[in-house]
Amino acid sequence: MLNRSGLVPERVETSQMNQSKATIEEVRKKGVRRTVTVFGAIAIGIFLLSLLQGLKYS
Amino acid sequence: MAHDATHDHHDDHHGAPSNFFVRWCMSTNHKDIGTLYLVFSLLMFFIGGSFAMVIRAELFKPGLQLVQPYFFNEMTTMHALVMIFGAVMPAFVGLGNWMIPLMIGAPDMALPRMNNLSFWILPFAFALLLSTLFLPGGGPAGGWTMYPPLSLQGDSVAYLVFAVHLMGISSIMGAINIIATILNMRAPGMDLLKMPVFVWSWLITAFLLIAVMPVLAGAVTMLLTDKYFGTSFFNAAGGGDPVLFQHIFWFFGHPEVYIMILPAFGLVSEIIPTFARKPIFGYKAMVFAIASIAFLSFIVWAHHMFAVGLPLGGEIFFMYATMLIAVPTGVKVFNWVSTMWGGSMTFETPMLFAIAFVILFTIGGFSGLMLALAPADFQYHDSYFVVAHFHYVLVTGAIFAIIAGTYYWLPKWTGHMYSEFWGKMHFWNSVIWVNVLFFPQHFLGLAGMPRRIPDYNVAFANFNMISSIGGFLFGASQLIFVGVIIHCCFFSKKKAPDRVWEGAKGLEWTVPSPAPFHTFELPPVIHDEELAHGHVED
Repeated sequence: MLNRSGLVPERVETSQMNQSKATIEEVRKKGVRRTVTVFGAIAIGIFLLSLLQGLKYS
Repeated sequence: MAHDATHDHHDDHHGAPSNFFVRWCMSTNHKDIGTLYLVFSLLMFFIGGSFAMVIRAELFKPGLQLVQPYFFNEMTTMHALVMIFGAVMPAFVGLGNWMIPLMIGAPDMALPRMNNLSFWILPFAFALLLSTLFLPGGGPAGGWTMYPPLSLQGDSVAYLVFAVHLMGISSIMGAINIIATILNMRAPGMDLLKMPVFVWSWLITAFLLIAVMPVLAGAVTMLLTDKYFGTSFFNAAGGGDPVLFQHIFWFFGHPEVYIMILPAFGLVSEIIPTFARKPIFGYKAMVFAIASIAFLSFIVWAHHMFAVGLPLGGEIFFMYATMLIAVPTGVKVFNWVSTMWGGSMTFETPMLFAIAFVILFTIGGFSGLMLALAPADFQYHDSYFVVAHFHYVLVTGAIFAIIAGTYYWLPKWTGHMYSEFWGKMHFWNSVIWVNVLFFPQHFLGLAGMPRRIPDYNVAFANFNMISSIGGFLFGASQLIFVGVIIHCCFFSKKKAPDRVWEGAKGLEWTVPSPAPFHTFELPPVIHDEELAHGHVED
């Protein structure tokens, strides 16, 4: 019954949503780390790309 | 009821540190950091507003009255920088910090320490920026757009660039935090398409921030190296191109406009259904319209540069792409009106500001459509018509929405009701004087008065005087706002109930008023009927 994140999938009956606090926190921590890595990398990448564009067209 | 966690014994109603320094300087609590952002934003609103008063005082009569032209240019530049980066953006971040975790059933933001850092960078950034006004050579005076070579004159470039870098870092960290919170911290059962529109609008805004703030950082870094390290990115004499800066700047600058208005759309989409006592009309359409506007905002930047000498094909592309934005924006305006249609409406202060937003923002949208027409823009470009347009969008748009949101959630934050009489006094004074301030500027622009000029032809005298009187009175009206907030926080005797407004729906209204220091430490059990959008069909 768990989805890829390890949580009960959304849109299920509320009676099924009785997961332990520890499980939820662990899954959240993993997801947060992944989100920060991806979006942090995107931000740094765009910054470098804008400098490269400046070099290319000047 | 979504009460399992909110009324849980683990909830700590008195968990705030008693030490002032620990509580406010080292806070990792989303509510305290949200409060810090909002207080900072209000302070910046008055500092930026005082610069606007200098501008309007100088323009009260033709001829040089009070200040020297260079100082006037400093005022226009600093007014914009302070209002955009210091008032509007931090206000939305503050509202997001306070309300997003409460709205999605999360105990806090995903990265609480980074949240603290994001805020505390800002006072240093603005201290640095404002300190330039006291430098021997003066502060930045080349406009907030920082076009070289004009902006490279003077010795404040390094201060400006470093301040902008700090603001950018703060915004990017804030955006990553909001995305991480919304994607990972929602309570089980809080489906993406059950989230409040305000949360959706912030999620999309955060994507925009991450995409464009690094571009601004790149642009100002190149400015810095052109000024101090002998590069020629934007110096034609060294093989560079000043117009390149304009392209890079507006690739950031146009999405920035939507960064300042999308959360306002979200706020209004929360307030109107509450006071119309109806669910929002076309929830999914509202979400997709916000996403469409965000996408289109990336492909319209050169409409700020029609007069620079773009190829004809480019002008036509950017003209049509810009006009396309009217479609999703129109969807939103019609959906707000449809939400009100047939509703049991009441007109408390948040609703009054929200209705004023819909009407006056639409006026700003229409003048935006006029500016989108490339051939017409050759006439309007750099005139007071542009000033009138973007102030309708940003003052009666973004700032009215922020004020509406503050009145809407103030009882939840403080546990007390604000004075409805003084709220309405604030509203009527604001809405009358803001129109006296900005509407005549349309006529001034159409008659040919250029922007960013301290003196003008006597033909423009009457409308300028009217505009200045409106400006002084609009500025004074905002003191009522401060009075209402102070009264509500410290003196109001009237307790606010948990569900402050009769028609309000959503998780934030299931927690007590004032919202406890810690909420949703255990994820709440969500029942669809408690959510504003709980019955969305896939």
